[in-house]
Amino acid sequence: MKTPLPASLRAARSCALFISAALFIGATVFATRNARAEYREVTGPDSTDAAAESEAEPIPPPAASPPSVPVAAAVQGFLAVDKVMPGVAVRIGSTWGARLETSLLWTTQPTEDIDSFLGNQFGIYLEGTPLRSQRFDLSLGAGSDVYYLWGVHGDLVELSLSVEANASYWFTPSFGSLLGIRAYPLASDGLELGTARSGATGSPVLVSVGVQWRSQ
Amino acid sequence: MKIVLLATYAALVAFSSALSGCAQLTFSKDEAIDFEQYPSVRVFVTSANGVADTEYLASELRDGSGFSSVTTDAAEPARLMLNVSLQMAEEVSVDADGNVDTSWNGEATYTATDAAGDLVETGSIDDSSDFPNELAEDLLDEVALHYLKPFRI
Repeated sequence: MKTPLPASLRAARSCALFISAALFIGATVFATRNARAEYREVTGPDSTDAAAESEAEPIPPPAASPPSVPVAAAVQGFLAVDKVMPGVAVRIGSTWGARLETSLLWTTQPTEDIDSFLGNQFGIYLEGTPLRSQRFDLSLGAGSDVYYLWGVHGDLVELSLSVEANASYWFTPSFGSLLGIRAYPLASDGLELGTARSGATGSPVLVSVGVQWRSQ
Repeated sequence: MKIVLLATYAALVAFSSALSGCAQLTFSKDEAIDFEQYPSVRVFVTSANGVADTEYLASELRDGSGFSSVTTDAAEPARLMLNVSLQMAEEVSVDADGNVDTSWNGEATYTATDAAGDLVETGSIDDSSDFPNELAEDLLDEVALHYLKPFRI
């Protein structure tokens, strides 16, 4: 079953889908360009060794391998009152990249009509990483979180436009921790970040923590 | 540079820790009508498959709506009469290679009146599908979802 959204919300949904698609395409293009640039840097000629190489036997150039796109995968959880939200995330790209997420969603306070399992969260983001070192990096992104509340009813969907920041600390070159925060500047009527069931207001920022692995 | 990154990370940790204890995420659905005033509904769908569509909508409303009683029997009393009209049209397009593509566009117009015949609410829902039966179900699903039992969780 589908949600009978009002016209304004349909426009927001269309906008969210359009932006998400644009972000995904943009991230893919950026990631591919970055990977190609890095690949050229690695396989390009080295002038300091040119003289030595000219005296030695000619060495055939290494077989070109396809450019690899950096990938990071995370297991994470969102910290929300009365909710349990374990999930996974994948980040594709280096300086610019796409981040894809999915989480399961439970409530610790089920009601007479609604069981504890509520549905899934899906996220798609375009991220930039302005700060990066061997141990730390910080990514900023924008995108959309979609909540399919099929545990409540069929195709009940809630949407948001979201901004986020993810910070990573790498214990080893491949393994690290993840800390993220996000906010929803625009969301459908049935989704309230920063408002309790009772209507009381709180922090409008959703925090996530996790561990992650990245390719070299 | 490393100091800046370390400070940024530490600030984020501190900021997040401060926020994590109070982050609220609430999902809700407001009631479309006053279900205490209108606890029972009689359903009637006008469409090419009116009888089957009426039974389908009634079944969906029994599953999860705010109505405590749903009937399709015209002789059975109800506080609310829900009439739904399905209008569907086939759209055929042919691309440059001569391939024919068929799709269906539809609109469900619903009107709720009380026992005296006074209008309670009315609205419409648009949708499209590749198949007419699927489109009819989708439109009726959306009508049923409109009357979903309110919740806040």
